Amino acid sequence: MTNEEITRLRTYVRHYYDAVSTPDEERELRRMLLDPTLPEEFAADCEMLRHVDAFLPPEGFEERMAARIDSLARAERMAEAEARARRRRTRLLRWSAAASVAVVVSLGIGFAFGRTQKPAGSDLTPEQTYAEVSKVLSLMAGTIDKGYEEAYKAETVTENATAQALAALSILSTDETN
Amino acid sequence: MIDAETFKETYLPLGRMMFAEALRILGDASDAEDAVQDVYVRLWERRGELAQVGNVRAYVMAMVRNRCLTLSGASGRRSVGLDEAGTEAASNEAADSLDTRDRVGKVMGLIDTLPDTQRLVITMHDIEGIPKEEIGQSTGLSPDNVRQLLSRARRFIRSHFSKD
Repeated sequence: MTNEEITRLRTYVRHYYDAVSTPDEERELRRMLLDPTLPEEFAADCEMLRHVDAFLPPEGFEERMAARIDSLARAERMAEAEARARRRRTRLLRWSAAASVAVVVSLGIGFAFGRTQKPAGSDLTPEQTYAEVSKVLSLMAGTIDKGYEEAYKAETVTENATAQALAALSILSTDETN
Repeated sequence: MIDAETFKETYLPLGRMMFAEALRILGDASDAEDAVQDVYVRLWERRGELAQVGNVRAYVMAMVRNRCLTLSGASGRRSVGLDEAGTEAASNEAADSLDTRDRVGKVMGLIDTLPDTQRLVITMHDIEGIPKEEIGQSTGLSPDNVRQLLSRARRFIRSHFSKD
């Protein structure tokens, strides 16, 4: 340690005990007290600060706490997105069920009122017509199911993409803080 | 309900104070960090109610104390297995933990012997990291008074590390 450094250190030490040092001075004081060639006159100051600094959080503490909060916020956002998707699916199912019931009821009514008449221009009996309509309906139901599956797949893909984007953003923000 | 950024801006600055309190009770830096993290999780879960809390600092410190008391009481302190204790890393960690415990105990012992106002000011400033201006505001002491009390307390503590 040079004489000039020792003089500067004495000033920092005096300021510290007078409680007038700036944060920069305190940082510099701590750095200089770690010098392996520190003169004996500063041994007590070094020991005192070593003890007082035991209360300082370890390195990276604030970043770890921030990352924990970010992960809590992310988990909450994902849970909310999942709940929204579940609500959408339930709504869709209810509408599909209601539509199916409406179709079946209309067909039933139509069949009940028109069973004695042969449709004009058709050679089918009412029973044959019923069988044909049932075939068409099951085809429609199959198509609706398929469409619903596609929509569900698309929704899952979107959710995964959102989750990945959020995870990437959080990694980026953690990198930035580091 | 506050978002993550606002939450961090409000509560992360209290981290040093929370850690110091947890360390004072638990005596181990790693346990203290775990306790503080647990408290942050609880604060996050309760963030909707925090607007009604009058003194956030006192509320948070009470949470830290409760968490630390639960942790130290529930585990009866962690016991180290023989295999674990035999490794070099584990023994270094144990030595660090003992060293921290000694330093914390010594400083707290010295601070406890100080007059009330000096004890208050040095604890707030040097242990919890609260700036002098804020100490003045929360205690009603003038800035010069805060400075003098801190100065006397530091000199007193230093005298116990001097070989003269």
